[in-house]
Parts: sequence; C-alpha cells; structure tokens
Amino acid sequence: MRIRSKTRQFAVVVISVLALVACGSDADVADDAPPGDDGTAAEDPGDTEGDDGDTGDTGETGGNQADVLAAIDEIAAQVEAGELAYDPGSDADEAIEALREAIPQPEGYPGRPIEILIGFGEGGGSDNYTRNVGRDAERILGQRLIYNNMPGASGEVALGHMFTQAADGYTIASAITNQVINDALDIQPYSFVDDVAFIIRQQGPTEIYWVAADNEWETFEDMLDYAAENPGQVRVSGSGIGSDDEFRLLALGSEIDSTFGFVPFDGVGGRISALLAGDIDVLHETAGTVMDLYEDGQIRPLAYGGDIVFEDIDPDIPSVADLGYPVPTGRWRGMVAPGDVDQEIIDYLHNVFYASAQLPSYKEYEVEFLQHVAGGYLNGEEFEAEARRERDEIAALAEEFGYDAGALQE
Amino acid sequence: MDLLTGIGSVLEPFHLLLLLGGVVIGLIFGTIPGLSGITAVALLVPFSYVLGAEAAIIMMIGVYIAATCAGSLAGSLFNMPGDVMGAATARDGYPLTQQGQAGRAISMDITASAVGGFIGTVLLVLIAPQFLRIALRFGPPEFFALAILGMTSVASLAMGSLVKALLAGTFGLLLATVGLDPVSGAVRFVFGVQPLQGGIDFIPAIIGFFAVAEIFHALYYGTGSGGYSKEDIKKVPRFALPSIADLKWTKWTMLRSSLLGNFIGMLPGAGSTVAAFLGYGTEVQMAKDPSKFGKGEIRGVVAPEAANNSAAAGSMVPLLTLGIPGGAVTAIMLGVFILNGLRPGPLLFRDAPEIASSVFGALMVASVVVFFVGLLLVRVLLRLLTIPFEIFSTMVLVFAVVGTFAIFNRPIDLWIMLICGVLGFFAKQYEFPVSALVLGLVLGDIAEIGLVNGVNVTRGSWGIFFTRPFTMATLAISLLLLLMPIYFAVQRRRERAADAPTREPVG
Repeated sequence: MRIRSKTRQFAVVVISVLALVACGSDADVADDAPPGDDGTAAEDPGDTEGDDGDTGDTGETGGNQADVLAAIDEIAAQVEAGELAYDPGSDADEAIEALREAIPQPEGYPGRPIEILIGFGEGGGSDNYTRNVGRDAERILGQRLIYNNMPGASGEVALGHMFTQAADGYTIASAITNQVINDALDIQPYSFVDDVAFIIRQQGPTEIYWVAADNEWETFEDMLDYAAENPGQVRVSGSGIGSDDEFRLLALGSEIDSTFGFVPFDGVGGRISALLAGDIDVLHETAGTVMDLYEDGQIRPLAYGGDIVFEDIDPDIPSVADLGYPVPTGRWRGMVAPGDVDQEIIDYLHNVFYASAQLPSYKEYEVEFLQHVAGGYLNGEEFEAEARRERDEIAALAEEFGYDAGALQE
Repeated sequence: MDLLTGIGSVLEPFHLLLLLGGVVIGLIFGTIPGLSGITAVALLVPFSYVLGAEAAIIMMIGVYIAATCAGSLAGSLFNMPGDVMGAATARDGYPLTQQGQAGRAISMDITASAVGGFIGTVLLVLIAPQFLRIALRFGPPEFFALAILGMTSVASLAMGSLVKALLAGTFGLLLATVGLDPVSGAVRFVFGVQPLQGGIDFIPAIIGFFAVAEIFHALYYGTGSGGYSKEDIKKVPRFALPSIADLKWTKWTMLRSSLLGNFIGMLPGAGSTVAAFLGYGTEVQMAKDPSKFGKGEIRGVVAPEAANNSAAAGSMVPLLTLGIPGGAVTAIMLGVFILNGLRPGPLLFRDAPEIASSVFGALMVASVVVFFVGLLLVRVLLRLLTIPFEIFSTMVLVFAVVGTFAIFNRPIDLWIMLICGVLGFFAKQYEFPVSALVLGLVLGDIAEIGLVNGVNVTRGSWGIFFTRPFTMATLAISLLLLLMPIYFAVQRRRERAADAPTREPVG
C-alpha cells in the first residue's frame, strides 16, 4: 500500500494515539455509580470542601458500632481458638460467613470490585500492608480488590488520582504519614486532612535510631550530648522527602538547642550502605527492614523512635518518649477514601478492614514485620482527629524552623 | 552457598520448567517495546504465593535475565528499545539491521548477553565479597562521580555534531529535575500538573523517544518496514550461531564490559541501565577507531549487552548479602522474599542457604538457557522485519500505550510518552541524538542526589569530592575522557587547516 499524503497519515496517527492516551487518562469513572455523584466528583478534584466541617456525625450509629466491633473480636477469638474453620485459600469459610453476618452492609455495596490505590511500588511497606490486609478483606467483601500501585511524590500521585475518581466507594487509597506532612507543608492542590474521608488507621511507628556496631556512642544521650555541642555535625539519615523522620529530628534538635544534619536517601539501600560505610552516623529506620543486620551484629539500637519499647529486640534501650523528648508524628498506615463517600460505606469498609486485621493471615504478617508491637489502630474519627493534630504540630515546627515551605509553593 | 547444589536444584524438572517459562516470558516482554522486564516480574508477584519462594525466585530470575537481554533486541531490529539499556545497544544494532545484517546483530546481542550473564555469575560466586566491600564504600560523592563519568559518554553518542549531543544531554538533565526535589521536597517544573510531581520516569520517556518517534518518522517519510524479504531470512541459519570472526573480534570487549558491568550492578541504585551506557562509552573511548561506532560496529552491540547482563547478576549481591535492592526488578524480588517469610541479608546464607545457592544456580542456568532459546528464536525475531509496516506500527503503538500504563498505572505516563514521541520525532529530524537525552534523564537523578547528599554527609564541605580516592579518580578519568576528544579534534583541525583552509563552522 502506498502512502499518499504523508502529512495526513501522520496527523491521523498522532490523533489516534492522542485518543488512546485520552482513554487511558479518564481511567474508569464509575459507570454504575449513583447518578449525580459521579460527574461532580470527577470534575473538581480536591477542593470539594475547604472548611473544616467534614463528614463527621456518626453519633447515631455509635452504639451500634461498638456492638459490631465486639462481635468481630468475638469471632476472631473463636478463630484463634480453632472453633471456627479458617481457610485463607477458599472463597468463604465459617469465619468469613460469621463476619459477613456480623458486619452491617450498605445496600448494594459492593456491587463490583473495589480499586485500592497504593502510592508506592510493589514489594514496599505500603504495598505489603495493603495486600496483606486485603487478603481477608476481599473474602469478607465478597468482591475482588484491585491493587493499583501508582508510585510518585511520596504517595501524592496516587492520592491526587483518587480525587479525580468518583466518590462512590469503589476507589480508595492506602495512605501513610507523608500525606499529613505534605498537607502541613501545603505542597498539594488539595488538602489531605480536609478532603479525604478517613476509613481506618492500622499501623504504628516501629522506627529505631541505629548506629553502626563500632560507633563510640553507647547511649542515645551520648549522641545527644555530642549533637548539643556540635550543631549540625551528627549526620542522621531517614527516608526521602516529606517524611516524618526529618520532623522528629527537628523537634529533637529544638529540645537540645542544636541541629542535626539530615541526609535523606530515597531507598532503604542507600541509607543502609551509608551507615555501614560511615557516611552517616545515625540511621532512623523501621525495625523490620534492618532486623537482619542487627541480628548479625553490624548495627545496634540507641533508642526507639516513638514511645514503644520492643521487648524482643532489647528491652534495656529506652524510647525517645521515655527519655522525655517530643515525638511530633508517628508513622502509620491506613485507608482513606474521597471525602464525599457515603458515611455508611466508610463505616462498612472500616469494619471489613478491622475484621481482616484480626484474622490469622494478617496477624502473621504483622509479626513478621514487627508491626504487632506498634499497634496503631484508630477508627476513622480518631484517625482524623489525630491527623489534624499531627498536621498542626508539623506546620508549627516547619514555621519555627523556617523549613522552606515557601519554596514549595510555585 | 554452593553453586553446584544450586545448579542441581534449578535442574529439577519443575524448576527447570519454570525457568524456561520465565525465559520465554522475559524474551517476549523484553522484546516488545513497552512491555519491560519490570512489568513481567511485577506480574509474577501474585504467583509467588502459590509457587513458594524458591520456585518463584527461580522463575523471576529467568524473566529478569531474559528481559535484560531482550530489552535491546527491538532496539537493534527497529530502533525501538524496550528499556534503557537497549537505547545504548540500538546505537550500533539498528545501523547493522539497516545494512541487512540484522541476523548478525541479534545473534551477537544474545551471545554477549549470555556471556555477560555467565561471567557475571562466576564473578558473583568468586569475588563478590571483595567487590561488595568496595561497592559499600560507594557513598553519595562516588555516585556523583560515577554519574559524571557516565555523562562523558554523551560525546560517544553524538551523531556528527557534538554540540547537538550536549544540548540533548542537557535537556535530559533538565527533564530529570521535573517533580519533587529528592532532598528538599520543593516542587519543580510541574506547571500545576499535580501528577507530574512524581517526575518523569525513563521508561515512558524511552518508549516515546524511540518507539513512538520512530513510527512517526517512518510514517512521515512513508518509509517503514525493515525492508527484509522472506529470502533474506532464509539465509540466516535455523540456529543462528554468531560467526567465529565476530567472537574473536569482540572477546576482550565482552570480558571488559562484563567486569565493568558486574561492578556497576553491585552498586545499589545504579543498576543495569547505567552499566549499559558505561559499557558502551568505555568501549568507544578505548577503541582505536571510535568513528566507526554508531554506524554499525559490532563491538557497540556487544559492549552494552555484556555489561547489562553482567550487572543483572551483580545486582544480586547487595540484595542477597545486605537486603538492598539495586534496581526496580530486584526491589520486587526483595518483596517476594519477604512475602514468603525470608529476609535477604547477612543471615540468609545461614538461615536459608538453599535459596541463596538456587539464586546463583538460576542465574547461571538462565544465561545458558537464554543463549540457546535466544539463538533458536533469531529467525522468528527476524520475521518481524517482514511484517508490513502499517500492521507492525499499529501493534507497537498499542503495546507502547498498554505497556507504558502498566508499569506504574499512572495516566500521566501516557502523556509523557506521547510528548516524548513528538519531541523524539523532531530530534530525529534535526539529528539530535535521543540516546544522549535518555542518558541525561537517567543520570540526572543519580548525579543530583549524589551531589547534594555528598555535601550533606560532609556537613557542608565541598572538599569531599577531592579527598575521597575513588571519587577523585573517577572525576579525573571523566575530565580526561572529556578533554581527549577535544584535543584530538583540535589536532585534526590543525592538520586539515594545514592541508586546505576549511569553512568556519556556523554558531
């Protein structure tokens, strides 16, 4: 076939690619979403409601909710005791049947698979959390969960995408502390705390301040003493941008009237090799990631980053909170939805994820990652209140230290 | 860790079958522009629940090694590399195809990959601990120096005009700065497009710059199809062994690149991509006649291929001994280990030695399998060159769109791909080397983080770049490599000026 008009042909191809791309961009705006909800939510991402008044009142269902949770706990205990059959490989077993019975379900929901956006790549902490809590949640829901890893900008790309989707409960996201920090720094066109509906918070902080085994500091106080005398000379590494690490250090530094040199590395690999090579002095890192290096004797803990002491690691090491220093943020993971999602659906999802986390397969995962010590569970309302508190505290710290939030705005 | 036990375990029928399956999947995903090895490995993650850690890892290694090799096949055949490393190979592979030597190009491509993977694994077993010790010394300043060294190969990627290569490289660096600042978190060059905060990933960019641009270009000029007939293909033997002459000609190239690639692979964060470009750049710099490169020099195919497959093996070292993933694929593997209750790190060799030796065995067997399966497929691959261009380009565009989206599920990546496609079209039109641009994009992040954190770890002193031996040596080599072509060019001009006065270059 001879190509007659190359320019025309060229234009046709460009346009068809454009069309393909455009199809991709629209993603799956819900087809069977409640009419009305759909269009508006997709059009104005983010600024759905700027004021503090949020979805709020769950007062009437409050008493009910406590009963539901009690019933779930009861079923979980029965599973634990082996009284109810539990088989994660099947579609449903006695435990799942009982849970479906116990959890009040909104009418017609879920009528199709639910998409969970994960703001980080496959195999990372957020991914592991989401997929593990999803395993039994999927069975209780009776619908598949579609995990959609959409990494970028410490989780904000996924969150930004969530706001462009219909607020019908079929697109939710797993979020971490970074989202609150980015909100406090006012980086995003939306406000995380004001614009999402909080479903559940399930994980807590497991960070530890580590040093290389041959470091001369014996205790956390040794390190702080040195830091107090030599501002900026103690180099601490933590995860990349918009992380809780840096704000914990800012708070710690302000307490001892000094500063730390914060060296962020995006991947855990860079952080660990920097510590082992002596490029940094202290590593602020989740226990689970570096357990092996600890057991191998290459690194040792100075203090627990939050207020929890890990009995199985070293009960004699203090936590930062024990020592009387402030810990402005935790490191949690949880589930959120667009702000306009029906409260009934939010409550239902809360109960499903809560129940899933009580079952053996998620519990085993928690133990594996040392998350079982951290706890961290909060229901939607508490989660929101805590997120607000964290945002205020971080914003205040950022202002106090002139953290260049100004440069963050375009 | 016993290599023989590992090989034994991999040769069990079930494991071998998985490995074979992995290699085939890897070859397919790697060859099709848009579907990269990362996508294939990520798709396998859910199966690891069923297969168990050992079997899943063996299969993933098959995919990884095969995809690393195949990533450049489409680069050689159509100038549409599926991955960054293919961008280096395409520089010389595609001209070979245009000269009617596609069979030679891809059989050498596959051979070099297999040899690279094999040497890489041997090195892994023999000298990994020593290498690792050096690799661990690689702090931010060394990464910065390494990125600078990589950038000096921009000159080797020039197509005629050095200025255009530099402009393209710089534009690549500029693209690398889009998104959130990796250290301070400032929003850069996003222009209010929120999803751009995630930055420009190089896979969508490469698919745009190469595959999409190539299709635009071919359509605009009404050219297309590789111009191969069925008879041409029949000339290639069924099992397309490379010629002895080619092997002899490139044996040192293979060895050099494998050594270099293996070391680069061990550096967490650098990975096979940088290895391919460094392998190519080094080979051009070391050649007595660098002018042949870019026009169909077989060493230009061998160097990046041997380097990146050797790097793939090397990247297992930090993963297995420290639990540090070196790149996207190893990061996914780390996830699989952890999901199956294994924790890669210093204790893996004590707690689960069979896994570690299986990994080594799988790497080695996979390299051999890639060699045989790959060479058997040469004719099948060449047949792709006979597909009418209208059909072929449509297929590639569909795969490009699907594949680009599948990596991170981000709609923005599709726009990036499309815009890069248009940019790539014009770049080709005005002879800007897009491979230099891609190099800038890949190295930009590494250089930036290295520089900023390098200053950070020394508490604000710039002296670190001149006091650490490795950093200084690397920077010195970079400077030398940078000045040498200029020196030669000046000398050549003098000679020419002595012969006959030439026209002053414009601009």
